[in-house]
Amino acid sequence: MKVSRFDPNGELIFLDGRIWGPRSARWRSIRLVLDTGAAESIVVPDVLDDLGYHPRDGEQITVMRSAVGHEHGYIIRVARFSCLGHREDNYRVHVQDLPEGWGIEGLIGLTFLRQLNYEIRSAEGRILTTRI
Amino acid sequence: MSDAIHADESAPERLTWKQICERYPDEWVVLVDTEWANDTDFDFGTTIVFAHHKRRKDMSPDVKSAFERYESVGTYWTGKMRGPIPRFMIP
Repeated sequence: MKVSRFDPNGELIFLDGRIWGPRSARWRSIRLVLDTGAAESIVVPDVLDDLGYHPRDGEQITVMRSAVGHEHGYIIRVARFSCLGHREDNYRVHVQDLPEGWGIEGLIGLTFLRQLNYEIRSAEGRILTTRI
Repeated sequence: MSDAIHADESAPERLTWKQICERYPDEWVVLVDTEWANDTDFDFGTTIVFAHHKRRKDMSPDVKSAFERYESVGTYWTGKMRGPIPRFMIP
């Protein structure tokens, strides 16, 4: 079992995530929000661009619906992704910009979480996870 | 003017996250040579601030430059983080 900690007084559950570049050992660590209401995980474009990914390698165009309209993004598979102490190779993420003011560079959705059994212990600020 | 800290300094200063937040409030920081405590938490001993910027998008040139010398790079906001969370649809 892996144990991850978060600030129980935070507005949301913020976690650390890591993304590896294509065909390289390089990886970047970023802040993510845990979102059990999101089907997919999201990463902002700059993070992937800086690692060497390109939109032309994407699998599908996506559209984000927001209060101000629609914003285009795309789906891409990253060589490796890790969060909560668990790694996933060839992991599919949505690449979509997020507002600067949020202070995050992505979110963790159910495509990652459903590979785990997890228990969010809010009062303790801990998430217990085991791979299924 | 670039906010990049000269990477060729002979002995770059190592800072804790608390020190970074005090020195660079409400900024995006590019961290290298971080002494991670584990792979489950945002928890490290000390690190080197390679660059710092007011805007997230301004970090890209420095992140690419950092990757020329370091295998891993971290990018973080030192201020308050918040939502809300967007929702997606696939056309």
